[in-house]
Amino acid sequence: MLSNSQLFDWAGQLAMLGWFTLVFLPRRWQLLNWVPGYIIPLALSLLYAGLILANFFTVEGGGYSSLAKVRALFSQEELLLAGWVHYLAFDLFVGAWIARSADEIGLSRLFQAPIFAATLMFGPVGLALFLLIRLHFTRDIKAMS
Amino acid sequence: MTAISSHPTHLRQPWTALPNDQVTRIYITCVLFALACFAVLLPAWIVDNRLLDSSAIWTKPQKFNISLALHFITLAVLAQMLPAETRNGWVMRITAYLAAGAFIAETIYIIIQASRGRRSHYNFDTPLETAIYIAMGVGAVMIVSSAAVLAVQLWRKAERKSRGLWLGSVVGLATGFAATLYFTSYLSDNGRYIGAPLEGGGVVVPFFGWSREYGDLRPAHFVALHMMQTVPFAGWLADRLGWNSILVVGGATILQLVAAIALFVQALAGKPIWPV
Repeated sequence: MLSNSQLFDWAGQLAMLGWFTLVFLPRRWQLLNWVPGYIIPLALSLLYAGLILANFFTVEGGGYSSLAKVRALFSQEELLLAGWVHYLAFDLFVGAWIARSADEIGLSRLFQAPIFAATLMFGPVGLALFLLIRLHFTRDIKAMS
Repeated sequence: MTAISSHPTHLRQPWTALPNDQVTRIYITCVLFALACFAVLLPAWIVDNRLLDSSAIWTKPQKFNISLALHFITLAVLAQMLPAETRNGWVMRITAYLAAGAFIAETIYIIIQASRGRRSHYNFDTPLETAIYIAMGVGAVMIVSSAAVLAVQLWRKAERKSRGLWLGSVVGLATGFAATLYFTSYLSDNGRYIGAPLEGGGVVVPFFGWSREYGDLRPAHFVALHMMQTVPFAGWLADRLGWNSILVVGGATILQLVAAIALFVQALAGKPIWPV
């Protein structure tokens, strides 16, 4: 059985590969866009599924309905790892959505890069940044559709 | 870098009717980025009670966000006096990308340092922070130089139908740039206070953080910097009201420059702007 820290390292490296693609690589090949957009998030989601389903009901006093129960969940290392992988999967998926949406409104890659950095480090901070910038463009997005 | 013009672009400016060309987009996106940063930092500004050099740690990035949003909207609006080919010529494009790149880098660093509760400017604590502080000086010059480049381009190529606005823009951007360069280089060599350590100047003017007990060099910097907005505005007003644009623009420039110099001299004498 693989150790938790080995899985943690691999999951992080996989996510970083996705972020590298988003920040530095071209967008003109659909297959390449699927790597951060779908393939890596799917792989991380499957890893999460394994960790959470195997461990969620094994923790005494664990659950979602109070902060104390969530703390109990995270006191088990497999679930702490699962929580982390959840971040990695969702943040990257959001990052890829930001990339698509930013290309749609014609936001320069120069401005996309710091938004990706913020999303990678502090997920919702990057999402909020992008949503606020995007506000300015939404009327035309509606007009387009 | 993806060429912006190749996108099906749909830039919307609810508050202006600016065209959707490359340089205008860069400057407007800087404005949007600064405003978005301001909004995202608001909750932290409210809940975080850590202090740095006796002011709330998030006040500095917020001041920069406001100031830079104002700077870039000024450039975006005043650049419209240029013919579209000049506005998107290589001089303006390179300037805009350099200014935008420097702006993003500075903004990120100032925010990171604020969240760590550490200085971004005047930080010689570690070799890395020292190096970045020096690099920030270069970045700041790139950001304000965008005003000087625009002043030159306006002088050479602009449409002069609105004579006051044109004159005010050329003079305001150029004078604001030169005065800012002088005051900020003095600031970077001497620190913000005269007579007080960097850690704090005692009682301060709310929000601005200028000392009310010691000489503070920042009011002069503030007044000089914002000549880039007030002088073009004075020229625009002269056009609207049919006043003599040379007198109005010249008068506004001299008044504000004298005010900045007076504040500078006052600070050098160790006197506060608004004594307690």
